[in-house]
Amino acid sequence: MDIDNRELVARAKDGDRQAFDKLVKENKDKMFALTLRMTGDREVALDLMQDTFLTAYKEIGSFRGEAGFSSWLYRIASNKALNYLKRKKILSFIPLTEKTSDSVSYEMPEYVDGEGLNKELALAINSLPPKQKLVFNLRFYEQLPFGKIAGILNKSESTVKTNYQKAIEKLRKKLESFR
Amino acid sequence: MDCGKFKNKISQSVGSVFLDADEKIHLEQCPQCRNLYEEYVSLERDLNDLTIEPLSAVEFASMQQKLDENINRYNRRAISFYSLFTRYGAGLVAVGFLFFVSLWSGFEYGVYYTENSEQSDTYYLADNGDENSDEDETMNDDYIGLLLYDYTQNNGYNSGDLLLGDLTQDEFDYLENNLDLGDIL
Repeated sequence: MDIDNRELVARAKDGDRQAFDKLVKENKDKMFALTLRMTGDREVALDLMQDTFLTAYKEIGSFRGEAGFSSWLYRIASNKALNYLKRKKILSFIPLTEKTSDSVSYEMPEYVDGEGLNKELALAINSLPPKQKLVFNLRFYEQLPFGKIAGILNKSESTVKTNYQKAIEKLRKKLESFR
Repeated sequence: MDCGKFKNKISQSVGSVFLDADEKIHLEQCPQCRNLYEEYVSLERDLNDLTIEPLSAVEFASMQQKLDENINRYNRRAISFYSLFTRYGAGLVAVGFLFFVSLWSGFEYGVYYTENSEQSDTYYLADNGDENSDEDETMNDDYIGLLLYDYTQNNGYNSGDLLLGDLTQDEFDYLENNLDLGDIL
């Protein structure tokens, strides 16, 4: 965490709303990208992002500053996204209407347009188990080192690496069958 | 370098593939690993093409507005809890204080009572043979009773009034201060 950021966090901890708003502006794109890639829905991603910042505002007093502020935000956003996917999965098992046998399918993420490879790839990412998807997104798209991801998810580095390898292998096989 | 190690390293580094000299040599020598490497590089390229539309200013403004509303609601709730505490908290503190005082006074009474009891015990213990005790402290009801018993045994039942004449001044003072009417005879 750089000095400016540290100062902003200290001021936000003392209740300075302007400092907190500055922290929100600095981290909004990263949080939006993660929540959107995890959920595939812009509205839901915005809600989760808003909820992430609200939790950060409420809990900023407990932020000890050992990891960076953005890592802390990533942890909150990751938990929110995982909880959302868990709830969604549970809801998908509740038959509100009569479903046909082939109705169990993964949704197409909103951020993907077009057909072909992009669509297949997006569906493949969306069909990854939530934790593998999270590790994949944090590593590939957010470019975070494995050690940092391990810290965010409170897992060992080797577990995180294994999750990433599994995700990459699944994506490779999906694409192999498509080509 | 063997194929297993190479595959392991490559699958972990998709997104930031960097080959060192040994790995480059292995890649040139092993067609299977070369194929795998090319697949991973292709996958990396395709994944990079999968871009998202960034957060627009309008979306951010709407998110910020919602966040502000929720933060204000949270702050109001925190303030209302504070005002509730200041309104009723004073009463609670007063009740707590009275409770504490009552507990403390009970405790003080207990200490006083115990200390006096201990003094009394010490007094009697001193009577029973402590060489360092004062002479006054050796005079107690038992002592006087024994004295009176001996005297009446030797001088007859109604000889109490003779006793007074034989007492030392200390013994007389003690009797006067400690015995009630009718205690002697």
